[in-house]
Formats: sequence, structure tokens, C-alpha cells
Amino acid sequence: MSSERTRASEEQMIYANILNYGMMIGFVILTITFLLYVFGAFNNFVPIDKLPNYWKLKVGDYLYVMSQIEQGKDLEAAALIQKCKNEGGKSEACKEIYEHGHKMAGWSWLKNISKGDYMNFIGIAILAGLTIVCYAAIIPTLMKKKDTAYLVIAIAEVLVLTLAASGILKSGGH
Amino acid sequence: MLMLVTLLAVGTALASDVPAPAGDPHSALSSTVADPHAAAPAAGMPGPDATSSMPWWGWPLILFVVTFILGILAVLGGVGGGVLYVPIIGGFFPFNLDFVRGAGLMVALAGALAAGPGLLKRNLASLRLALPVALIASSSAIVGAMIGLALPQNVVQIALGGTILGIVAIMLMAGKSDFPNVKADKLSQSLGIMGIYREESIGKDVEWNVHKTAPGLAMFIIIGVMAGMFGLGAGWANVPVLNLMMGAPLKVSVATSKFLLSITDTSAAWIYMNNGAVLPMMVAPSIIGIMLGSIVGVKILAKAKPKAIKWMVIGLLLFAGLRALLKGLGIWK
Repeated sequence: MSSERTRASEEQMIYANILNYGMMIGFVILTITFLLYVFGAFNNFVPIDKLPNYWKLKVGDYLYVMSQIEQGKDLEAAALIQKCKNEGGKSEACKEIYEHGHKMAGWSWLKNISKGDYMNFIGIAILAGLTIVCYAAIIPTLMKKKDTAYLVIAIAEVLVLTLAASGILKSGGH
Repeated sequence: MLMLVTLLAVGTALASDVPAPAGDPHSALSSTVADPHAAAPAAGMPGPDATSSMPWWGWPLILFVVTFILGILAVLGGVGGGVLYVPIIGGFFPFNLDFVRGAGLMVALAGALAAGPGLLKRNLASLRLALPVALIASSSAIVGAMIGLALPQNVVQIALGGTILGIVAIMLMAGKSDFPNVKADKLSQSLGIMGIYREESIGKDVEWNVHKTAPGLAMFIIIGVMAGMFGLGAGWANVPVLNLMMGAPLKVSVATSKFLLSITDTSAAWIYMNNGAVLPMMVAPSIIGIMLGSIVGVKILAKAKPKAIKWMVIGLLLFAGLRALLKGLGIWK
């Protein structure tokens, strides 16, 4: 039993409770959507038996192939990727791969949310977004306590995590 | 352990190049474009080919079994799941390292999210200690993730191998201090980084402070970058800095480190996710496998011999680190 001295602070308990429920919701949703995915309850964006052909690709090429699947041109994608490889990283072929692939990055999974494979991102996004909610929830308590330093830290963390989640920050690819 | 090694050996053999099945145009895509930006075949890690005769569910099933075993070993060896996951899955499975690191971060994140509520409620993890550290580590992890996704894969493999071998060195050499007796410095005093927790093993309430706050916080810039770059989680680095450098009690350091991963890995995980490097077919079985393995690991913990397990984990990391290094150098494909 925790005594008064060793009891966690009010904001710590708020954080812990939200984390607890959010984590359980995220896990349950991820497990359910994954089972629906593997048992084929919904149509998938990428045919599940073709997936082993794509998971070896670098992410930039993978996204490009995804963009071509959307247009029914996935088999032609190989030629362009090979061309990019042969011509070096700054060729027109590589630029095209990057530009098309980029359209499949960020929050674009939402437009395919009805597909079995993309549905899994709901649970993943809940798990990845939970910390932002926890931080936002302790801000009023920190304000009430006039804990200025930690209030600034909490707001800054919400901004940092929101920036990461926003999809604005993109890697330059390979 | 024996089962894990057998699975990895079988996996590596199965994943080795096998002629593509005739009449499947998609397999041509895989075999033609696999790793197309590699500078040279030696450096490009041609590695296992996805065109093996294994059905689509074969690798995810093996992944589930291996992550289940890793979950047990992680608990018994006192390490996070991510540090075992990335080098082992990256070294012995056909998945691209981009997806392995994305999944590694999700695995570490899931473990931290699951442990966080209990640690916070028992006041073992300290929000006051974690918040300033997390702001620095999570910002740095974003930078690390972006660097990691932009670098050529052989460079990442070499750096990953070097880092894992460095972690082995830390595990072998770093000491620990159950109750460091330090005097709070000005920065920690002004931020109010202090606390009291109930130490059940001695039946006392333990008061704690931290010192060397500024250099300690600075260390988390490096830790954050490495966590984001390699998708490792960073408990292996968090604990020595919090405990040995800043002077937090060992239990508080371990618990705060675990909780801290939920914040650091969140920022990096979003970068991987927004750059397309999160594959549900890898993430879901990995998370479920490692969570179930952790539950079993906790039950075995009471009967296990911790020293023997620690040596097993060190051996496994050494093997996986060497594999990553040699794979990156093109010596062991």
C-alpha cells in the first residue's frame, strides 16, 4: 500500500489512467483488425499472397509500387525501379519513383481504410497517438498547480509529437 | 534458446535464394528490384529472396514464434524487446531493414505502453524525471529516424552492428548502484526532480534526488538519435545514464526508462509510419508475440537463473551484432 508520502502525483495518476485504457483499446483493435486481415474478411489493397514480393523492397520503392498498384500498373513498376538503380539516385526515373511514392506516405492510409490491410493502421495509430493524448490531459492540472516549467515542457512535447505525427517531416529517401 | 537458434537457422536457409516460381509475374518484381539502390552487390545485402516457396503466412508465423521467444528472453535478460528484435529480425528474415526498424519501434513502444500505467501508479516511474528527458530524447529521435531512413542500408547495417556490439560492451562493463547517494544540483532543484518511493525489499520509503542534470539531459540527445535511427528502444542507454550518471535509484531508473520509451519511440514511430515503413503484417504478429512472451517470461522469472539468462542474451546480441556488421560489409550475406 502506498502511503501519502510515496503516492504518485495527481498528474501522474491522470497520465497513468489514460495510458492504461488507451493502451488496452489500441491492443484490442489491432488484434481484431489483424485477425480480420489474415482471415480475409475484407478486400486487401495488396493481395495478401503477393505481400512477400514487396516486403523486401526499400520503403521508397515499396511506396512507389503501392502507388502503381492503385493504378493497376504494379508490374511496370519494376522496370522503372531498375532504371533508377542503373542511372543513379538523381535520375528522372528516381524522381518519378519518389514523387509517386510520396503520395502513398503520411496519412494517405486513411483513404484506403476500408481495405483489410490498411484497417490495421487504426490500432497502430491509437498506440502511437496515445502519448499525445496523455500529455494533453495533464496540461490543465499543471496549469492549476502553476507548475510553469513542466507546463511549458508538456506543451512543447505535445507540439513535438504532433509535428512527428503530422506527416510534415518526410525523409529524403535513399 | 535452442529453439530460437534452430528457427533462425531454418529461416536463414529458407530465405536464401530460391528460383522464382514460374508464372508468377509479381515474383519478378521482387527478384528484379530488390534493393535497387544498393551501391554494389556486395554492399547491397541481396540477402534472402522473398520468392522462396514458402506461403505468405510462413514468415509472419515464424516471426510470431521468434518474437514470442524474444519476449521471454527480454524479460529474463532484463532488456527491452526492441534491442533484440531489430538485429535478429533484420539479420535473419527477408523483410527490408526499413520495415524491421519500424516494427522494432512499435514493439518497444507497445511494451512501454503496457508497462507504463503500473510503473507510474506505483510511483516507480517518475513523471518529473521523465518529462524533461523525454522532450530531449523524443525530439532527437525524430532526427534519428529521418537520418536512418535516408541513409543507405549497408551503412545502417554497419552502424547497427557497431551499436549492438557497443551495447554488449555496456552490458558487460556497466555497474549499477541500487541507492546512489547524491546531492541535488541547482537545475534538478529548480525543476523539482525528486521523489519518494516504497522499497519493498528493505521495507522502507526511499527519498531520491538527481545531480549532473545538464550533462545527463545532454546524453539523451545521442540516445534519442540512436533510438530513432535504429528503431531499438533505448533502455540499454537510459538506465546507465539515469542511474550511474544522474544518480536516480536503480528501480526508479529502470521504471522511468521503460516509461520513457513510450514517449521517445512514439515520435520516431510516427516518422517511420508517415514514411511508409510500418507493415501491419510485421507489426501485429510481433507485438502480439512479444507481449505473450513477456507474460510467460514473467512467470518463468521466479524459477530462472538470471545470470545464465543474461549470458544467453549477451551471446545472442553478440551474434546478431556481428551478423549485422558483416551483412553491412557484404561479408556474410
